[in-house]
Amino acid sequence: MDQALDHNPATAQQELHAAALRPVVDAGRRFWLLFLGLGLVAGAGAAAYALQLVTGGLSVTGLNDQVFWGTYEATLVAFIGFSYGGALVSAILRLTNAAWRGPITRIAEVSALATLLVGALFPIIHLGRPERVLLLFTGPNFQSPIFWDMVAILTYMLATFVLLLLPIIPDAAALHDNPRLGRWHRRLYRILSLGWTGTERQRRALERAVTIVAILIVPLAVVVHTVLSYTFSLTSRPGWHSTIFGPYFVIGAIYSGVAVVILAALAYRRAYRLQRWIEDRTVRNLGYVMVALGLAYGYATFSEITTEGFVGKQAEVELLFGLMLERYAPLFWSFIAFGLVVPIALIAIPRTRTPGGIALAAVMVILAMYLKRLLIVVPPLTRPVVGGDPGTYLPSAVEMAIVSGAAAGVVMIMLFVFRFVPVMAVDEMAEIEREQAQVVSRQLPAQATRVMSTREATDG
Amino acid sequence: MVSPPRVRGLISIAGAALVVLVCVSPVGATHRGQGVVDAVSVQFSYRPAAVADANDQLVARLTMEDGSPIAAVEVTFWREVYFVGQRRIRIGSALTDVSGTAGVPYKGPAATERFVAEFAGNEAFLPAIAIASFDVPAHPGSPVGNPAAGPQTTATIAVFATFMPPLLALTAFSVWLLIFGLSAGTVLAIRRGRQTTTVAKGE
Repeated sequence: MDQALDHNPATAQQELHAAALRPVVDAGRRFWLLFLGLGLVAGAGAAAYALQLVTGGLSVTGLNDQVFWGTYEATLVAFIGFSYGGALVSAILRLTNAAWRGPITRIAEVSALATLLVGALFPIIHLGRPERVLLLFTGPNFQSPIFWDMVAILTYMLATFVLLLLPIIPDAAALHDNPRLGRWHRRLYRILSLGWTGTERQRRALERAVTIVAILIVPLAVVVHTVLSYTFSLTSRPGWHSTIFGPYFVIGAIYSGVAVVILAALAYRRAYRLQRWIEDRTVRNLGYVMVALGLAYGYATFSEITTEGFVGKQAEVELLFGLMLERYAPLFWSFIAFGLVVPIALIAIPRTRTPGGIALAAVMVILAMYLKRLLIVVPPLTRPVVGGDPGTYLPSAVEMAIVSGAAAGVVMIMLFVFRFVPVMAVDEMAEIEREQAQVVSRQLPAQATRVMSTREATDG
Repeated sequence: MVSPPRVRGLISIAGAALVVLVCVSPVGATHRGQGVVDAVSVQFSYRPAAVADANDQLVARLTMEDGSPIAAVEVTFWREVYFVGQRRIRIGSALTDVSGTAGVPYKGPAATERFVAEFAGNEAFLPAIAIASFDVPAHPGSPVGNPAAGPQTTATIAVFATFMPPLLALTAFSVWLLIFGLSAGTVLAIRRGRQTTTVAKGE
């Protein structure tokens, strides 16, 4: 944007509009190849789910009487966490009026919606009899956390959808007569623009609505993730029954969600040559946010382990011993190394604090945080509660196909949405630029006056 | 005539047989031995204090089936409360005396409360429990609405548990209404904003 200021404002705006529309109009062969590849993975996932439905329900998974939750539950927690990060990045940057938010809010909002739409399917995928999900509507049990989990997720989904749609209104108005758009896109943008002409009254109404939804998103996302953590912590199972689980889940969600936003922003920046708008500075700022959250998550992990380990109740000692030194130690220490230490180091060291280094850190965080969710779900279940041998769990090919398909589905939804929606919030970016220009124009005379008076004083 | 060594041998054999018999017979397996344990009955009562400042007493008397008292065993006393479900709060425990009686002092808010006297059982006796409701009389200076679970608190929590789901539903509904209303209001405001501009241009 700083570079854009060097140009003629009209030219800069045209360039911005063209850049924001690149994924819409310049999909290219690579886009379709990627879309096809992802479609195959998602199709394999759908076929695996069909197999699960037709053949014997959850018997085709690695789940068993003892380990009754596995990858499905971990994916639910992970994907809704990814969503939370996107929504919160957008909401908080808007509320704090961070000037660098402009090019990334749309990507954050779309990634939030895509991960939420896919993640919310997993409670249904996890049902042996998925048609029974209708009972949540036809015969709700108001005492059940599952019912409130559904209410919270649906409410959060609605707010995320509105937060994405509202800022599209002025963008659609600005772009609906762009000559590069096809007839269908123009018609769509004309409908989405709702007759936006950019009057003061319209701006006020839109700004108020976006602010209120952004404010709502923050507690809603906290509620969603806390209720999700209650699925674990409201049981008496060692390893789950922990008072720290609510905030632990919330911090973990934002941490991994910011990593998803970084990765999506860098992918679009590279694929559609958006370096001029999604600047290194923007990526670095997101990296700093991720480091802060990583430190907070590390602190919460340390606090949880220390609190449980120091008291040393038999069950918890057995669990922590298995986690840190025995059965799950390679996975646990991999999480510590690649989910916390290395990503934080990559961003902390100036030499590796490049877009490439930050992208690598983000990939590590996403994978390691998924692993962490598995470590939260599985080890406590393998420990027998009423005697017997420790349980085992290995995800089956069906589960892995479904989870991979879901991940591909998230990327496909993002690609699909950006075939219709500008990848950057062009109106918001122009607004930020105007505000900055006003600030500069206000500061310049004041500085000139100060310089004059200093010179007069020196002369005097 | 039997010779003394032979007598000693016979006595030894008889003694050994007796020991074996005692060990394997029901006589040997007394109620303190392995395998057979006695059932216990509990008489549970509430004794209000005789003088104003003294504590009331929760008293349990443990007897065997034949009515003989069980001494020197521990009885634990609980109060049943409703706190996010039916729970117990420990009042205290005491050993039974020679008459099989154990008691703990109690002073609570005036109300009808449910109490539990529980004997956990041991190698000689089966576990036993008695649950009863007693009217706790008012005492000068007795706690009112004990934060742990006095009757007022219990009632409050019961009300809370009853009304919480509808309240949560109302909150969720309000949020939905707010989001829908806000969206509709914004759409209307944007369209009206445009109309105003058009009129202004026309003028």
